[in-house]
Amino acid sequence: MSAPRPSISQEDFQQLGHELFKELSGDQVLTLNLTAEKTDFSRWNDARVRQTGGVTDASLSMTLTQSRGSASARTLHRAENIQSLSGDLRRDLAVLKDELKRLSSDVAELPADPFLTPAQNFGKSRQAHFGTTPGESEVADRLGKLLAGAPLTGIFSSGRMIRANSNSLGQDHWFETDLSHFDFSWVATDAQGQDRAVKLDWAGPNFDEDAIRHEIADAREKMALMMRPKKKIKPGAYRTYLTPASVAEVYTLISGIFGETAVRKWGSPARLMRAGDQAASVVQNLSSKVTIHEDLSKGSVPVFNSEGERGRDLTTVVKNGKFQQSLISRSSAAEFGLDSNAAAESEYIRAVRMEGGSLSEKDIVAGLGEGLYLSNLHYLNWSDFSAGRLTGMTRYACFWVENGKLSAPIEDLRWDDSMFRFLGSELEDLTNAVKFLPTNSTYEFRQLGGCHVPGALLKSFQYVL
Amino acid sequence: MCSPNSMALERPNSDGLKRLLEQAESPSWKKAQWIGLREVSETTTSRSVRDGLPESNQRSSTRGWMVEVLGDGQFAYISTPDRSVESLREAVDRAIVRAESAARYGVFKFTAKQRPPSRGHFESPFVKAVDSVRPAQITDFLTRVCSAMKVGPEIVRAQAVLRTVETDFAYASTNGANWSQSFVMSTTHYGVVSQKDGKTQRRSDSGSYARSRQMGLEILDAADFDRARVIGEQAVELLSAENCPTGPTELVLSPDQMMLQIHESIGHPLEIDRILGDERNYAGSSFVKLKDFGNLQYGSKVLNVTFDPTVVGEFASYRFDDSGEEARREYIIRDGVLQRGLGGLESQARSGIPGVSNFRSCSWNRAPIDRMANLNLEPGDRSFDQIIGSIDDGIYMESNQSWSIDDYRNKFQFGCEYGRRIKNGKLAGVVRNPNYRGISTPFWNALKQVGGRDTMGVWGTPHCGKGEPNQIIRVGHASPVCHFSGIEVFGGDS
Repeated sequence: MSAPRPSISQEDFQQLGHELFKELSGDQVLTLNLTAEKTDFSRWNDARVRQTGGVTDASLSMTLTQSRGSASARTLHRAENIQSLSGDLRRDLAVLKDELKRLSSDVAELPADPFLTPAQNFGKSRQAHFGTTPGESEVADRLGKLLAGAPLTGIFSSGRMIRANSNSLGQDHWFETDLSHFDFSWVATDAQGQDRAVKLDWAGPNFDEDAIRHEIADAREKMALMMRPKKKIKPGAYRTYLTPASVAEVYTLISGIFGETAVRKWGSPARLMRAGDQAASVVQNLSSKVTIHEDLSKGSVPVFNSEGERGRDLTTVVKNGKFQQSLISRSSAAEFGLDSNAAAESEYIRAVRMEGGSLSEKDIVAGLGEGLYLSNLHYLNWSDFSAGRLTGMTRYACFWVENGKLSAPIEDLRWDDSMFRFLGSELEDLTNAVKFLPTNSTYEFRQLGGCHVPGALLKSFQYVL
Repeated sequence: MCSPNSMALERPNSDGLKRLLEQAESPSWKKAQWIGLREVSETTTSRSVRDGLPESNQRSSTRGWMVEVLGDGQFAYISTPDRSVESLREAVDRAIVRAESAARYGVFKFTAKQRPPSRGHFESPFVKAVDSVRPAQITDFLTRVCSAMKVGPEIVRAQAVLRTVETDFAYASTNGANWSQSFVMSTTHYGVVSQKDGKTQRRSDSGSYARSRQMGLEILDAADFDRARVIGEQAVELLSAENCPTGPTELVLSPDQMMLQIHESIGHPLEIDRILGDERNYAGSSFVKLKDFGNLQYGSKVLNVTFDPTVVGEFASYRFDDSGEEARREYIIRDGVLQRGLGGLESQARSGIPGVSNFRSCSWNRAPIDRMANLNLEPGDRSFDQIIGSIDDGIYMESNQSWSIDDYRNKFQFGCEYGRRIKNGKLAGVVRNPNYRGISTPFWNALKQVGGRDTMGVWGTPHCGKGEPNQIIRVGHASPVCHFSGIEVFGGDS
């Protein structure tokens, strides 16, 4: 085991910035954003290696802002150029300087953006969370022994992830973290040739075999229950418990609806929650049990956004069911005459933390009484975005509950219901325990963050197919 | 040997990669059964205008190598942006270590047969180079498209996007592969949000980023302004339209919705690596079993679907997949019967069933897996008027805006942007929030009429997601207008 090697060091990033900032002229301001990783991917199918590889990648975004015109009629113009970095500083700098010239030429002819605000120096920050990961020559053996021939399919990812931001006004932010992520499914076939599956998901800075063994043992136990005969449930409304993993899946859709631009310009359902909005003849609230924050204090994501603004540790978006505060980027602030709260450029909740309730974990199934226990949801999408209606499927270990006990696994079901019902009028309680579900997205680069969420007990949830 | 700066500037070149492999070879390489080197260079330029103002102007380039090694029957890879000889030597040595250590757990004993020694070159056609129009002119064009869409105060948001992509692949290997491909691709996306009296609707140019083709800046055309105006007008029309009714009905789908229907409930279920279980932790599995090939009645007798990477200008046309297998047009479903899976050489070897050349990756930093490419529903012989004319009571839907399906690719639900009632053989009033749901094989067996060639639309999407680690890839889908019988449709709450 060893500490992962970074694909680019902070010193190299600062050196690139130092050399590029020397190339600027006039009142040009250059902002740099770095995304980098050095990752080990080990993909398995039924405890056999499907694909194994290592990826080193680093991508530097250069955003150039330039003003034109007289002091009384100054306009701002902007363009962005992104280049992958080879790791050879001399070679990379040669390419970046060429692209900066191209960027400068583009910006000179692009029209003004009236909602651009001048770049600033928003300060410095450094966040570093180090850990240990298995070496390249040992990862297959270590995982092979852990999986021990069990029908486990999934991917193990480990390594260092980096995000950094700086600008020619002196701003300088650095975030790096080591993370190992064991993201698997236990899939077994029953006597009728049908698959039964349970989800396993563990992540941490240090590769922890005991924690992974615990996940596997837990899945083995759940599988015993999963192999009972399946129950077919007719479409209709049922009492339902959503585990934290299911609630986290809901946030993959709703974490983007509370942005100011989404509310004003995209027809976001959060518009219905805003008093004074013409769409909301009656303001719709979520349940008073629902409080949702963007919480940057846990260290799973950088505290800075792509403009280098440093976000608050806690921004309360929904408080006791009422829409408290939208996420406002600098661009939205300029467009709508508001103050920025250092939101991400696309104004989604970067690190969801939802407050828990009063339901104890030991009382969940008894509290459900008769209904559906949904361990995971799958493939959510909006069936009516502006009205806040979502659809999706049940997946993995979902059970019919009878007389307060897990009775039988169910055939999969499609559900379709409004967030104003299942997080609103039909929300009975939330668990007092809140769990962290790390993101498993690896599109382009491994993504950071996840959700801290409770489980949710619903009086009714609508199933349609 | 290429100098660093010249390597930075020249395009990927398979002869150059072949020379590099020869130059870098070291004694430790004898442990490998086969070594391959794939270089990808891609530049994406994206310009968007929102409400007549510049929203984004971005040029993004990525370039790197995937070094693949076969050791003891196990493939392993190292992806790196460092394209130096030293980096190549290190990558091969690391990949050998990985392959040897993983081989005892390997899912299959592969050979170099899964990496054929193909030779050749392919270039996608284009008329106007992507740098033939200045950024200011492009922004001006997109601004005028926005203006055309803003037909009235009900249009609260109008967005026009142009994205161009130039991609070069080069490939060389120790068993003699030496091939390269170059692509120029363009996408436009035009869309609006309309609001009035508490209602919100969206309308776009045939769905999100659906206008995606292998072509250059000839994609920008004066006809765009007429289409833009219609987008705005229909978005306003939807605000006062009745909600889509609920119940089973005769459903006619336009090609720009058929695209998603084909994609989700034919394409993905037939990917052989899914059937073999590789995706069960992420995108899921399939209701299709290996024994179904050759005999499952997937759809009605008028359902004919081809895998066709040879269609000029379709978004995912190519000559070689990422293993080097040459691509050919193949029937996947013929007269409704399932013929062949969507799987490349690795999946064909593992499964023992025939596949197609579709072992693809999104870039140099992801390993290839079975992906759709161009998957097309072949035309029938009915005109649009004949199809509509044959229906007393039904719904016609256009342009996908929502999609969801289970992890075995059975129970789906789709939402469209725009619908029309069909009454007594004619298109009648507009309906808003048109949605429908169903189950894959019963749905395809409810296919009653297939439009002719003059009803075809050729669409694509740059955003098909799959794989662990995740990858987004480009796919193309051509389809005629299609009529399905007895399908559950429903409206929305807004």
